[in-house]
Amino acid sequence: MWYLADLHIHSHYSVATSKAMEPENLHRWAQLKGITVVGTGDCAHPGWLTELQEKLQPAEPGLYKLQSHLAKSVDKTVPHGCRAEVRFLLSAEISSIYKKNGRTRKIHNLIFLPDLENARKLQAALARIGNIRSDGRPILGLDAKELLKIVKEISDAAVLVPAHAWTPHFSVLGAKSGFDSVEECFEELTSFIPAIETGLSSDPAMNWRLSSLDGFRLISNSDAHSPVKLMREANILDTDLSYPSIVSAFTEPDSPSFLGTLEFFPEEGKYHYDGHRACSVRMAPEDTRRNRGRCPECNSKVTVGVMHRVEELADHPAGRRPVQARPFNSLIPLMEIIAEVERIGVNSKKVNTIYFELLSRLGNEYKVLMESGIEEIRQAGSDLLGEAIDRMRTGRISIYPGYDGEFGTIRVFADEERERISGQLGLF
Amino acid sequence: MLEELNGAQRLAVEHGQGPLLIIAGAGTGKTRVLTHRLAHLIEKKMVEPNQVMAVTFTRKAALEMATRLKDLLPQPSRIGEIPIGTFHSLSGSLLRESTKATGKLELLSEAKQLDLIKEILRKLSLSGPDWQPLDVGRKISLAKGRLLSPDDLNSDSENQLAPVYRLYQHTLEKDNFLDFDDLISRLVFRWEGEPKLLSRHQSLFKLILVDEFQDVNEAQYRWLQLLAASHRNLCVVGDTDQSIYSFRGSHTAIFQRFQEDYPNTRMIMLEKNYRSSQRILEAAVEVISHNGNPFTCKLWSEGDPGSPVRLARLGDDKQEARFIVAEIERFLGGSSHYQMYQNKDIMPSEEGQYGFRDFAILYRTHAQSRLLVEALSNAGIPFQVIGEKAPFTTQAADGLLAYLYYAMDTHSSKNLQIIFNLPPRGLGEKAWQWLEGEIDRGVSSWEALRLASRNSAFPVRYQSAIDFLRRTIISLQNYLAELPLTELLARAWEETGLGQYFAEISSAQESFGWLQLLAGIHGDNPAMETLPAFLHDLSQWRSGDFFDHRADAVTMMTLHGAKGLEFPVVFICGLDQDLLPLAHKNQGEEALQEERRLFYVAMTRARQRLILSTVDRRSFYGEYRTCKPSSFIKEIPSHLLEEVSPPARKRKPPKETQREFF
Repeated sequence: MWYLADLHIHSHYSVATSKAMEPENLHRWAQLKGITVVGTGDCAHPGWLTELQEKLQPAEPGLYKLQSHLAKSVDKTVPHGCRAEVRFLLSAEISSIYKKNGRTRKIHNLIFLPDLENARKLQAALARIGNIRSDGRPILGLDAKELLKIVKEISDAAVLVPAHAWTPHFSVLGAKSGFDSVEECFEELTSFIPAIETGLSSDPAMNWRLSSLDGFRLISNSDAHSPVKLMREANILDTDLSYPSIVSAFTEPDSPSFLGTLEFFPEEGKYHYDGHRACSVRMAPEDTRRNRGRCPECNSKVTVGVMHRVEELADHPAGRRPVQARPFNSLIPLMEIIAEVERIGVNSKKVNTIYFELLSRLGNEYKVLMESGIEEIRQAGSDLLGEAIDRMRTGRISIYPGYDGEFGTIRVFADEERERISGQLGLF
Repeated sequence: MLEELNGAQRLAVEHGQGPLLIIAGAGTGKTRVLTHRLAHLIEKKMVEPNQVMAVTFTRKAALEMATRLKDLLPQPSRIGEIPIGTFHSLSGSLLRESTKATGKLELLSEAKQLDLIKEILRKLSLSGPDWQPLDVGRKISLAKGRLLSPDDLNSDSENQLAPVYRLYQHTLEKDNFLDFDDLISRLVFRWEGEPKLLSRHQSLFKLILVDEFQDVNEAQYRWLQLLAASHRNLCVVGDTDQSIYSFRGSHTAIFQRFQEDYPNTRMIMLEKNYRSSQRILEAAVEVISHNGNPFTCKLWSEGDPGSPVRLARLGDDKQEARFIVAEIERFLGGSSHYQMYQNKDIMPSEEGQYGFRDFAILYRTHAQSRLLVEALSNAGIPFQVIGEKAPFTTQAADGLLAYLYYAMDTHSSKNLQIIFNLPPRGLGEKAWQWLEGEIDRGVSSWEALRLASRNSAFPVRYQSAIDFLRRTIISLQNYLAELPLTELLARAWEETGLGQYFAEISSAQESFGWLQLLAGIHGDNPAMETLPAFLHDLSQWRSGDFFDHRADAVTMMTLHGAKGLEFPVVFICGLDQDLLPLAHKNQGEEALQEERRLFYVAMTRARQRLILSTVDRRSFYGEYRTCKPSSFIKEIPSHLLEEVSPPARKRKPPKETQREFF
């Protein structure tokens, strides 16, 4: 069975997340987006786990679904063409802050667990290490390697995956507080790390430049803090619906079940380029090198972004494609495309209206972005929208890259183009 | 071996015969000097390993000394021959060796000692706040530390203690028991009365080395004096400025006394510090110089000048806690994306230096820790409060567990006693005594309960209260067979009334949350099957370490607890007048000096950063009091201080007020 899995999200128990991050909304938005398996996120949090226990019921092995009486009323708010089964997989993200080899390391890791009982075991173990109640993504003063040991002691079937492996401040390869290789972090236990998450600011092609990453499955998830952000990135799988099948798609290098990923345009990610947010300075890696890592405005150190970091660690030029590589599609969230087309804010009501109009006519967001014919989209939306999605699919867009915590900004059309395409419209 | 030592250290190490007084300031390499000295004397064949005695104050210090000494010895395997230990362990073994002929001597455990004192207080009908058993034990210990017998007590307050002390000591001697303090004083008394024994013991040791000499009490001093009388080869090491336990009976004049008793003493001061930055040292030395102690070490270092001491003046103790959290975040360079996005004040330049274990937050009283714990928890920063028990050891949790134990085993009268009137249901001592009487007659406690509920001699309210207790136990027994553990706990918490009784007490609520969490891992089988494993886990954690030591955490502890430790970044909070220095019942210059020493010890824990804070208002048991900054702040020269203004808080612009006319 072909389906999408987005396994890294956060609940309303995490700091700076939407109140709407609760099981019902996840169930709803997964359908709108076209996600079949969604991670629960935050299963190390006692409050969230209790909520999950109350609202979910077991489905296939290691997977859960929203209890039918809850699902029934939620499904009424989902356009017919989008309605689909949704499954939950227990997942969590842990922030480890610790010193190793004389430097402070700050690393986020994803954990996937085979069932609720193991999630409770994880909680009991972590509660003795740090505070698991204040934040859905707990901060522990625990070496990531020790965390891996704890996770594997809890269950062989549990999986640990370094999260958004390249972000400067909180990742295994991050420029600020990561390592130069996954091995440096996990040492002799590295073989228990089947995959790394590429994160929004990098795509598989950037990772292919490091032969040291050839042994890891490159997975992608949204890291959503609100339901609309689901499927910013996701994994494309072709296997049965069960925890063991999903895990083996990640862990077995030759698995035919892992088809590839959906990716954010990495330039749109918050840490793609270098720069200094306080001074609104965005810098390409070569600018940073020329400026000796300093901000031209205030002379403080700039935050080195993912592109720079990849170039630093890469042993191959751009364009390498390892044999085990899986394909990926870069996409822009539909609401952002609508906002760009309409030249209005992404949170505006009009964007929302057009979005749901499209979904009710064409099906879930994945279908609109990737599968619907351009002509269909023109008719359901507008000529500009059809053109915009066509350009996205073929990569003919420009993006001002994100830097130092600022998202990149997308431009699908130059101003004169917009007039030309609208002008054609006026001829009819 | 000697090359790595500085000049003063080397003098101390190479000193030959005769009394030696080493004043070793904080961070000046004291243990290194002691171990090198021992190793040097052994290497030069001036003494055999078994002829030097090294006395430390704690087992931990003894262990550390042995570990470090071992590597310096020409024959490391001979480390076992050197008597290294605490006063109590060394004296105890001499005492035992000399008592073999005269019969057994048993050491009274602390628990038994407390029981004995309670019994004596009961016999003498002494009760009330002045007669807390722990306090009484401490007073007796102090008297013994001063080598005072019950008859020697003379001041009024001591006189009151005399009959208790007398009966206590009589009981000990009658049963051939020793308490902890007797290990020293008994030997002193025997030496004084048996010259042969003394001279035999004296001949065993050619040199005695004593660490933390400033904390030695009268009995220990006398003990040393007697044992070293023939050769006077005493090497004592200490720092009166780090003497923070006067209430334990030590005194700072001890160095002077030593010099008077041993006029040819050689004094060496170790003042070169290898721990703290120059600015921190300068500030600490300035502060302690106000004590006018002739034995003060003028600490200095060749190290980094370092950053100024930071001082934050804040509105209240909540702001203080937030400030400390913000500082830790700043030093860490942010602990989350969100927090970094919110706060542009993080220090990218500091990033990469510190982990959680590099921070210590020190406070004068345990009460100050509450808000700090809250603020650190809210920020998700891992921390550990030293001296803290496992979080599920509260009266509420103990009560809940006693209910479960009793429901499982209704023969256990110990557990029945705990829950008998918890939550309070009007069942007093009298009811319990009746029950106990029945149990003593061989009736099971469950049967006794049944009888009590029908005892017409009891008032009706007793009967109904006991009836309620019995019904609660019966329903718990039913749940045990049917419900999973977590649900059993939830029902028990509610139906016993504990949940309601402790509703307002957050530590109780929290401990229940912990029990729930820890019960969760035992699965969904009926509690009957999982409860034993659960209780076993709890007892393991209760006695041992609940917190997993694989993890880094910010350390929180009192100023007293910090002695002997060091941290890259130290916060000393609550620098308010009356808190540090603490307003004692017995005010006066001596008390003030002790507080200043405490502050000095805390300051010298810091390697790179020292951050002080004081507030305008502080809450005491729910009530705000106005505070003044500590007088100690003024003792730090201003050029060493960097005043920090509180983090700017977003304020709503003041509303335009407009009069309204009708």
